[in-house]
This record gives sequence, structure tokens and C-alpha cells, in this order.
Amino acid sequence: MTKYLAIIKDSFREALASRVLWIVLVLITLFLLAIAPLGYHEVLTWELGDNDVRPWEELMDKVRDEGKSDEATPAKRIWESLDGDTQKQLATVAIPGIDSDAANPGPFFRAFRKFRGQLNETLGNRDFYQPDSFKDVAMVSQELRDLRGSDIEELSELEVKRFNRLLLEASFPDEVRGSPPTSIQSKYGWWDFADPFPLRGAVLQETLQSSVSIVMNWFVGAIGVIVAILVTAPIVPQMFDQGALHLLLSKPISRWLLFLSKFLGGCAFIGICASYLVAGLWLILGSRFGVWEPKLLLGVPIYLFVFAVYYSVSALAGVIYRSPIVCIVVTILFWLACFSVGLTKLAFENTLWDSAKIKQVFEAGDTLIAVNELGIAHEWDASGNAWEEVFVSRIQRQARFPMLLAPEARNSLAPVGPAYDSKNDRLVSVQLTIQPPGSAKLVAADRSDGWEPEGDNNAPSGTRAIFQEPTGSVLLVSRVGVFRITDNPLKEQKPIELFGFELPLPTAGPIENVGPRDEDAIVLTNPATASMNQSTGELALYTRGTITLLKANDRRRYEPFAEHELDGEERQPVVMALGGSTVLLGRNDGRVQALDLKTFEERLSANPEESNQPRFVTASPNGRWFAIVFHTGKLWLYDAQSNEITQARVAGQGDISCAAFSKDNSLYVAEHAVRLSKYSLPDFNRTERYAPSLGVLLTGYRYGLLPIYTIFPKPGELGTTFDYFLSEKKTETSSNNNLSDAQRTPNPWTPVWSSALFMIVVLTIACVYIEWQEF
Amino acid sequence: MEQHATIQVTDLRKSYCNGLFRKRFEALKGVSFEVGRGEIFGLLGPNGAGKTTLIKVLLGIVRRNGGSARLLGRPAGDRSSRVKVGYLPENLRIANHHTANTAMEYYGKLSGLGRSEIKSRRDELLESVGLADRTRESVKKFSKGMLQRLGLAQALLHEPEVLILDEPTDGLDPVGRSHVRNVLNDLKRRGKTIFLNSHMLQEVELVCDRVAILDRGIVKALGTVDEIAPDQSEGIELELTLTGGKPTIEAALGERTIGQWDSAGDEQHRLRLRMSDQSAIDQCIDDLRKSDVSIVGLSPRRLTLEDAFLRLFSGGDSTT
Repeated sequence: MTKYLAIIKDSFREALASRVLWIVLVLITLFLLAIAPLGYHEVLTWELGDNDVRPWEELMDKVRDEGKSDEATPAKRIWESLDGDTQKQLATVAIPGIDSDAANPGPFFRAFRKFRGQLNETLGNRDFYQPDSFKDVAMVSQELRDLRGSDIEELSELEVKRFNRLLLEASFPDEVRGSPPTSIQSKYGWWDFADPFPLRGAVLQETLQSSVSIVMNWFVGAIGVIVAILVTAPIVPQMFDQGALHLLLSKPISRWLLFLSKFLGGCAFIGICASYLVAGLWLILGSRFGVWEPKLLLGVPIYLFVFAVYYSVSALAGVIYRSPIVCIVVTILFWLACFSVGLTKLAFENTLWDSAKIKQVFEAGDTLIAVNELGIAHEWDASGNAWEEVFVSRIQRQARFPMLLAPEARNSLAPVGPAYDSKNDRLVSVQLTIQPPGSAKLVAADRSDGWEPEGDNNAPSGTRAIFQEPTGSVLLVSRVGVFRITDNPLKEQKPIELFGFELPLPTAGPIENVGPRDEDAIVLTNPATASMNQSTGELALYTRGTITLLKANDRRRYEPFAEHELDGEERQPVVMALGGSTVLLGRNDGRVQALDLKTFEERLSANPEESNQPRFVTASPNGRWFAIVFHTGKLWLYDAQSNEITQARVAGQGDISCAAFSKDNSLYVAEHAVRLSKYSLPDFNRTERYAPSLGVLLTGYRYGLLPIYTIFPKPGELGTTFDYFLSEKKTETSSNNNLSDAQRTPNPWTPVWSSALFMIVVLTIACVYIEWQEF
Repeated sequence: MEQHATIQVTDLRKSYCNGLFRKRFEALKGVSFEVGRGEIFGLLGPNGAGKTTLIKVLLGIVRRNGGSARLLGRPAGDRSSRVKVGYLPENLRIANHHTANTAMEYYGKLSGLGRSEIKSRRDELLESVGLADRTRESVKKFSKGMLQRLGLAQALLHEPEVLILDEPTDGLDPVGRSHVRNVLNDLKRRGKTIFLNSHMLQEVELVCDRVAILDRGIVKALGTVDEIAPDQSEGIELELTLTGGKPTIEAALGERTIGQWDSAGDEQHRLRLRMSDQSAIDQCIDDLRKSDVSIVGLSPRRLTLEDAFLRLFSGGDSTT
């Protein structure tokens, strides 16, 4: 063995003698020295930066308008705090998007800068808070309530600023962004640079780790590998120099082990560079940011592996063609092939497969409706054994193309619902228009009309969920309250007229606000979600760490009757289902939590999919069963009766996109994009199966492209594996507000095994070749 | 046939397929010979004769197509026999990142030596090949001769029983050649077997016990240098230095065969003659003197391996 170790050692010696290595090491040193002074310190979040108010125009407009009124409001309080000049400027300036004569932006920007400066100065005033002015503000935040309860004179200057900032956040939830208590002030050496960044401690670590992951991906995974390929390309061909090779082959060593030792030795170059860079980054992160994360060091073996995969191709080319140039060219071609296969697969997956996945299923009378990731409803056609598109509105037709191309757009453009109104045999949904942007419309369709959507009524802004009450009415839960559809949404609403003229005012439409009343108002600020108990009609609203339970009173208005604060951070997203006497929560740390509906006592807490996040939770009508679908495609079932959670014994685990319950408490499971099965519980007997044909493109993707991609090496995707080691999450989230938003689920192990397998095959071919070839 | 021949080659055949149409080329066409223990054996032949192919077969670098080849009693190419072989290839190349010391360490380890063994032998060997003062210098700065000497030192590092040297004096200056000769003689004294492949006929003649001459894959001659050198019974070659006119000398020599004639001016001449015996020499001297040609010098010339080689490859068929 010492003979082969000598060959590896010789490669190290060769690498150390390489000028390129020292150039790379010097560059890495310079990079590490450049980032070493980076650091941060935490400061209380108070200042309103450009991005903290969106849009500033609306806030300025509110302050200007309410400043003139006599009523004591937060906007009026701001107006009072401004000096005369600023008030005058604000009163006269034309605000773009609001005032029609705002042609010249110059005066507005001057007024805006002055307003912002004054507002930030105002935040330091101890007398800014006047109870009368803020009496109607819902003080949801515990931090705000604590500060309000303190003696203002005893608060430090920073605490006063923080308090006033929180007052603004609570007063103008639509305009002023919520902020964490502390912000990160970046510094370079002793110099504070940039505005404080509103980042929480735990998020900072995550952000830093992902930054390191990006740095590693670029510096080691891309640039490092390219340099290493260029530098190491001659190693194997040099071995075949006649004078060198014959001497080596005359030694009592095995040829294939000689080759493998040379190959391993060739990895020395990237080994040295990656170790130096990763160790340097690790030390800087530890000493400057307090993030001593040993898993970062895994970057060395992972990126060494990335290099080894490429280098195996280079080495095989070196054995066969014995030319460094050919080695480099072949390796580049290999990289291009990997890139092309990966890109094609990603494009097909995003535009075809993922968009076709069923994400909602419900029974609409005698038929089944499935909604895919684009929000398009499909009705099951038993005679054609296919899902037929139904209820596609003009808005959806406009949104379909951007949603197909940009998966991120699906989260914001997908409609809320549809829900089935059994009383009227009707589908109802709320859809956001693209043109004009962001206007919410109530869209409905009757079966008798062939589910052809109609209606141009406005929906409440920020509608988050649609439910059918046990009484049969349809409820809309919006950001500002609960609304009931009281009239036929298909009926065109007449515009409001005054003296025969149409007024450009929104009509009330067929909806009615049914609570909660003003003093109990709950503003569903992100992250937020809602759920309804299908048998009792109780509603659960979640916003920023607090669950509020509501039920309808005698006048059918919803009133809160219980509240519970979740442990952990305020801005955590959850998914929630209400059934029987249980609230089931899916938490963003992967926890599944079953709480007693009356006492909020925790009955069960489990991490069935470790830290992977749940996407949907649904309760059966009888309240016994809760289905939890994870972003990993796994389905778990919680039995409230036995207080146990088990993985559902259904087909397609790992590829499940949604689950739902039928009226008779059976379980619907959607998998393989478009397949649906119905299982009876608790025995998991499959009673019905809906398996349409996939069509040419989806079949081509599933049974052609996907197998090729699976066996093809994916060294470029090993960065995902590194991310997985760092975060222990198999999914990549695109949203921090909604757990139900689709997440990418790249398998962290697929690039490892496919690349390892490929490398073994390539090295085996090279070994056999070198063993049998005559030199 | 020796019972324990170090190298034993019997009817060895090797062919290659070359070019686009894989045309078959026979490099060795049934070569047979043996090299005894402690013998210095020289393999001679023009370019393309198959010398290096033969060495490659012995070391297992290429596979034979027929016949047999054994090294130290084991089939040629066997890893256990290679442990006891020291090899210096033609056109040796040592990677530029090495110094003489690290190269010795590297090749020593590949030969199975430990660090201490390498250190104990390295200095002495480098001194014996004249590189004692260049041990820490990068081989990048080495001349071809220095590389050859370093190659020889690494071949000797693990004290092999058999040394296979392919053109060991190629590129060496006379001092370097002398160094190598001394090393070879010393090894011979220590009973090592040396297989020498060289173009340098004089070197081979000086050190080799036995010689084989290979031509296009066939052994043309095999034996000691004396056995291979041209038969003295065919006559004696004389080298004469004469003073006199060329026509006079030509007239005095008459019908005698003149091998070579070099003139320095009109009067000074050097020529070679082949005589059948001593009486013919005496008669020739008499004839020259009678014609008033002064005999400045006269010496009989011994026939060398080179003569034998040239005669073999200039058409005269004298296969042994």
C-alpha cells in the first residue's frame, strides 16, 4: 500500500510545485482577508427605511387626508408631529399614482425625503403615543403591548423609538412592514455600513449559511473546479510519457491501482484549495458572526466529490487520448451534457409535471373536482377516464401562461378556492386579476351552466380562504374580516347612481361582513391562515403567532371565543385544520402538533418528516382523522381517537401532492400528478381509483426524460446536497409566509448516488483499459 | 542450456497492429537466448530491430504473442520478478517537480523500499553516478546525461538481481560513460546480471560478456564478442602510413586489394590492406621499398564488434 501512497504523495508534491496552485492560494487568501473584517452587531429596529413602507405614497396620502380631519387618528398624530414646512409641502405636493396632476416627480421626492426624515425624528418623541389617537388600533404584537404597559419615561431612547415604530406598524398594517425586535447592523472593521437590516438571529444563521453555500457553489463548485480541471488535465497524460510510463510499469505495482492513485492524487489540488477556503470561511463565520457550524466543513468532501466526478471523465480521456487538451475538451462536453439534461428536466418539470399536480380535491355533488397547481379546476369524466377542465375564467386564461413559465407566480396568481356551494350546486372562487393588477374578483359558476364562470363582483381584499358553512352558505375569510356570500354572485351588480350619474365607487356586491366586530377585529397579517370545522362551523384564524377561534352567534356573526399564542417566533407560518375537538397544526420547523380545541393543551407533538415542512393539513368531517401532506410528498395521518400519527398506507408515498376527506370520512389521495385514489379508513382499503392517461408530453417526461436524468450524473447539483446537510431540509422554500406555497423538492441524495455510480463506471472503464492496453 | 538462467527467452514472438487499417507488424519473430546469472549481456541491433520490444516483454509492459520469456524463473511481467529488477528506460523522463533526492525517494518507494532504506543508500548511489553535489537541485536543471545517471541510480536503489538498461550511456559525455562503466563493472563483481541494450558498440564490447545482435525481430548473432567478431582466418588487416607519390605506391601494390585510402597532400598517404598471411605482408613491404616508398608506419588492425555489426548489416550473411 505504501507504494500507492507514495504515488498520491507525489501528486501532492506536484500540486505544491504548481505555480497555479500558489496563485489560487494567494487569491483565496486575499478573498478571506477582504471578508475577515465583516461583522455585525444587533440594534433595536426602529428606523423606517425606503423598503419599510410600501408604498410611501399611500402613507403620505393618508397622513395628508386625515391631517385635515378633526378625528384623532394615528395619521392625524403623525400630521401633528410634522413641522409647518413639511405639512405645507405635503398638503400641496402631487403624489404619483394618487393625484392625477403628478407629472413632475421632483417635488414629490423632495417632499417624500422631508416627510421620511421628519417621521423618523418623530419616532424619538416620548409623547408620540396618545391613547386617543391610537384607540382603534389593534395591538396584536405582544412586544407592543409590553412596551405600552411600561412607563414611557423609564424607557431608553431606543426603546421609545422601537415603541413608536411598532405603533406605526400596528396602525398602518397595509403600508408599514412588520419588523423583528432587533436588526442587524453590518460593519466592516469598525465602520458601520448600510442601513440596519431587519433580520432575526435565527434567520441570520440561516442566511449566512446559505451565503456560504452560494460562495462555495461559485468559488469551489464552479471556479475552483474549472481551474482544477485545467491544472490537473496533464497529470494522467503525463503519466503516459514513454520515458516516465515504462519506468513506472517496470515497478512491482498494479497498473489499475497506479491509475487510481494518480487519480486520487489529482484530487489533491482541489483538496488543498477547498480545505483552505472552507476552513477560512468557517473561522471567519465563527469568530466574526458566532456561527460555529461544523457542517460547513462538509463542503470540502462534497466539492472534492464534484471535482472527482469531472476529473474521472478527464482521466478517462487522458488514458485513451493521452492529451491534456482533449481531456479539457471532453470534460467541458461532459459538463455541457450534464447541464443540458438537468436544464431540460427542470424545464419540463416546472412547466408540465409540477403544474399538472393536483393540489385540491373535493366532492361537488356527485362528481369530483380536482384543482391543479395552476389553480385550474378539473371535473372527473368517468366515461372518458380523464380530468376535464372546468370553471376556467378569463382571468385564469390570462394568468395561465405566466404561471406555466414562472413557478413563483403560481403562489400569488393562483385563485383562492374554488369551494363548492352545495345549496346552489355552484363553484365559487376569488381570483386576482392581472389587468388591472391585484384586483380581487368573485368568480362563480353553476353546474347547470356547464361550470362556465361568470360574475364581475369585487371580492374582499386579501381573501385567504373560502369555506362552506354547515348551513350551506359560503364564507370568505379575508385579511380584514369574515364575509358571507348572501346573494347570487352570478348576478350583475348595478352601479351606484346619483342624480342619474354612475359613481365610480365599488358596489357592496353580494357579500356581507359577518365579523368580527370592530373591537375584536383581527387583521390577518402575513403569515396567516384560516380553517373551518366542517361539522360545527367554528373558524380558526391564525396570524403572526396567534390562533383565534371564532364561532357564529345567534345573528350568524362571527365572534372570537378563544385565543392561543404559539411558542416560537411571531412571524412563523403554519398550516392548520380544525376537526372535532382538535386543532392540528403543521409548523414550519416540521412539527405536527395536535392541540385540544378548548384548552389548547398539547396532545401530541411529532416530527414525522424531521425538519421538512408540512404543506397541507385537512380534517375529516367527523373530526377523527387529520391528513398531513408534507412537501416531501409523504402523507401522514393523525388519529385523534388514539392520539397517534402514522404514515398512511397508501400508494405513491413520496409523490403525494394532496389529500382530502369525503363526506363519508374516506380519504382521497392524489399522487403521480394526476392520479387519485379513495381509501376507506382505518383499513386503507382502496375503494376507488381515478387514473387518467398522462398524455404524450407527461408520459415522455415521466418515462423518458426522468429516467435519463435520474441515471445521468449530476455533479452540478451536489450544491443541493450541501444545502441539505446545512439545513437538513429536503425542500427549497420560495416563501416565508405560506407553508402551502409549493416548494421545490430536489432529492439531496440523487446527485450523490448518480454521480458516484457514474464515476465508478468511468473509473472502471479506465482501469480495464489501462490494464489491457500495451504501451 | 543453463539450469538457472536469469533471463530465458524461447521462440519469442510479438506483433503490433498499427495504423488506421490495423496493419500487423511483427516486431519479434521467434527470438531465443538465455542470460546467465552474473552475466553482462548486450543486445545490439539497428533502429526497429525489436530491442525495446524485447525489454517491454521481459518487464510485462507488452504481452507476447508466442513463445516464452522468463525472468528470474518467473514468467516475464510477473510482479514478483519485477521486485528484483532495476530498469533504466531509453529517454528517461523524471517529472520536473522532483529533485534528485525526492526522485530517489519516490522510485525507491515504488520498488517497495522503506524510508530508512532509501536514505541509507541514496547518497552513496548518487555519489557513484557523480550527482552527489546536485541532490537538492530540481531535475528541471539537469542535462540529459545527468538524468540518465539519476535514472541509473534509481535502478540500483533496491539492489536488484537483474538490471535492464536501455541505452544507459546515451547522451553521456566520456566522463559520464566512464562513470557508468565503472558502476557496471562493480555490479558484475557483485554478481548482478545486467541486460544492456545499446547502440554504443564500443561500450558493449568493453563491458559485455555475451552479445546478441537483433535484426528485424530475428537474432542474427549470439555469443561472446570474440565469437561474433569477424573470423581472423579470412586475413589480416594492415594500416600503413606511407610517404611517396600516389602513382608509385599504386604501382608497387599492384593487384592487392586496398580497403581505404586517405591522402594528406601529394606525398603522405594512409591506407588499409587485407593480407592473407605474414609472407604476403613481407612481400608487400619488399615491393614498396623497391619502389622507394618510405614506410612511416605499419600496424595490424584488430577486427572489432563494430566490424562484425557492419558486415552483418552491409549484406554479408554471417548468421551464427
